[in-house]
Amino acid sequence: MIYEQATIIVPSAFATALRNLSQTLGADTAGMFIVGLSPDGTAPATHFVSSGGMPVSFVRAMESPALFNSVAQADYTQIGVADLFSLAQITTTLASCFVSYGTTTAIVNSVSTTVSETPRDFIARMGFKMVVATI
Amino acid sequence: MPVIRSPIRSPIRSAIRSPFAYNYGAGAAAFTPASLYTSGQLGAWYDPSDLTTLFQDSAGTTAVTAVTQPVGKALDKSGRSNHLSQATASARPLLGTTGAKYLTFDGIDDGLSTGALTLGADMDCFIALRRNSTASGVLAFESTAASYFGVVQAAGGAALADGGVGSPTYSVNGTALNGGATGTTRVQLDAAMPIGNWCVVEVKDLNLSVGWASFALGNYPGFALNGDIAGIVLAPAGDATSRQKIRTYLGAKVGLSL
Repeated sequence: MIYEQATIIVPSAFATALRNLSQTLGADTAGMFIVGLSPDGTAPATHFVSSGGMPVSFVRAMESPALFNSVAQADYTQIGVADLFSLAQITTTLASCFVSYGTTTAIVNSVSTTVSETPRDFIARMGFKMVVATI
Repeated sequence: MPVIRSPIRSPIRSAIRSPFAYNYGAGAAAFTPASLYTSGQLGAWYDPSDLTTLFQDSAGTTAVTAVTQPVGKALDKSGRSNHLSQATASARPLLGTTGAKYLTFDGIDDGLSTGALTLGADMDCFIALRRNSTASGVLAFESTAASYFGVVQAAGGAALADGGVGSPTYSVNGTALNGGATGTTRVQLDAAMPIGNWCVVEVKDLNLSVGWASFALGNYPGFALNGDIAGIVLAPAGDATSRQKIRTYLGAKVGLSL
């Protein structure tokens, strides 16, 4: 399997469906999207994040509603549940997800420049904080 | 000429190298943590500098061969087979190399854990570690997050740096942290581990005999470790000499003379 480094933030309402979807794309995608985010770092999580090496097929599906839809159709058929999302819903939902490949653009010396960005930087740039736990 | 050069160069080379060799005495073999487990002692030893122990997948079929590759499995070199693994691809730490070789945890979801294992009532854990942000973190925990030690938290945390591990004492780079009966605090541990600097953290006299059905690193919920680990030695508690050897060994991995 070919992997690509990415950080993906998804709305919490979408996370469960995406976890199910991701499992059909490879056994090693189970367990994604379990780290919660919210604007102020307090529960409940409004979004969930995964960061690291992901199957390329999964990342590409996150970028393309049509591809996502075809994968989802196969997914839901395989696990025996009715389609949960229409293509229109998928299009709308993916538009509310955020994907980073480890770089962003910044103005350096008045010039737009590509600079590296850590997952934590990306989360902050998107206006989120990791939900704080207490132990 | 080669017939003459060979016997002359050999003793000269030996004479020059011996004083500077990583050694603990004339004629003594260099220490490695392997000696801590020769009689079946409980524990684990992870060494990211040994690429023969690292695999990209959790099944251990694809070797790690280059920097930035994911680490889905790290073999335990203690002989106890307490191997670390991560089934979720996106949650695998990466192999990093800047001087030392190390596992780099992203502070989001990266983590590794063992399967079921048995640990003892008086154990030491040494970790060569570098934090990469001020984020709170947990150094090691039981994979259900029921027990843990090494909570690093700059402010607002509870008093103790651990839970479910007895009353361990902490040192960083060989310097004891305040603790005693009340235990090292999270804030003290945070202050002793400057961001971006390697250090060797020692957690001594841990009681891991109850509630430690596994050993996990990196992704304690809400306290994900944003940092690098260059080596871990978990072994029965040793005496001062043994601890010094482990400290020196791990320090050398990350360029520290301890």
